[in-house]
Amino acid sequence: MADPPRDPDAEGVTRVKTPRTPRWVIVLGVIALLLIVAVVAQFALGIQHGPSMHEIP
Amino acid sequence: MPPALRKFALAIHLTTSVGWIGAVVGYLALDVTVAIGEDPSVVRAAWIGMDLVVSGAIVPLAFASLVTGLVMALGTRWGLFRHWWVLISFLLTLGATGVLLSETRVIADGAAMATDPATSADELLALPSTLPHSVGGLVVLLAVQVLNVYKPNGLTPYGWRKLQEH
Repeated sequence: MADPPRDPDAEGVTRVKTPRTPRWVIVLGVIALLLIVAVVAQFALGIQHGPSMHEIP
Repeated sequence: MPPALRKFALAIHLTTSVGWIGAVVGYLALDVTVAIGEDPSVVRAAWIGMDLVVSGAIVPLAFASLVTGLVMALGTRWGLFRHWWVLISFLLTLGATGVLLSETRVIADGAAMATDPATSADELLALPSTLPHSVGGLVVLLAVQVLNVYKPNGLTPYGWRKLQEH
């Protein structure tokens, strides 16, 4: 007979939880996300960015 | 890594990382000159100086900082993926190096135009500066520096699993 699946809440079984992501990592992640969105929006709106904006018209 | 070797690698890493920041500050002074300068001869000299600073100091220091940072992370108990501050520092350094390399061609083109006698004063003054990238780069490098000094707590899920294994 196959063993029944282990219930993590059963007595004698210790469940090890991964700690929560620190707040400062979340803040940095949000800032990085906003910067990426800003750069993508620049391209989407046709605003010159990168080497092309340094060319003489 | 043996303690003596670790200290030597740390000394090189600190020197190249702080040197990178210093070189960017020097570059920034030239970049501001390009952005607000009205004298074509000064702007011409600034473009040439920017190219020399980037190719002779900033790019070599960036690679040295990246490589020695990897050696320090992988050769010590910190690891590269175990602590958030190490992983984020690595990603920021990688991003800064990538943007730097893409800007290198732009700066070389600007310097080539500046040295070309056929480039008129108006054309030279019309060249946009690289100020947004150099200011952004400096902010990123300072953020990495702060992370490396304060070493804020926080294990990544991978670091947590590794900790449980031992």
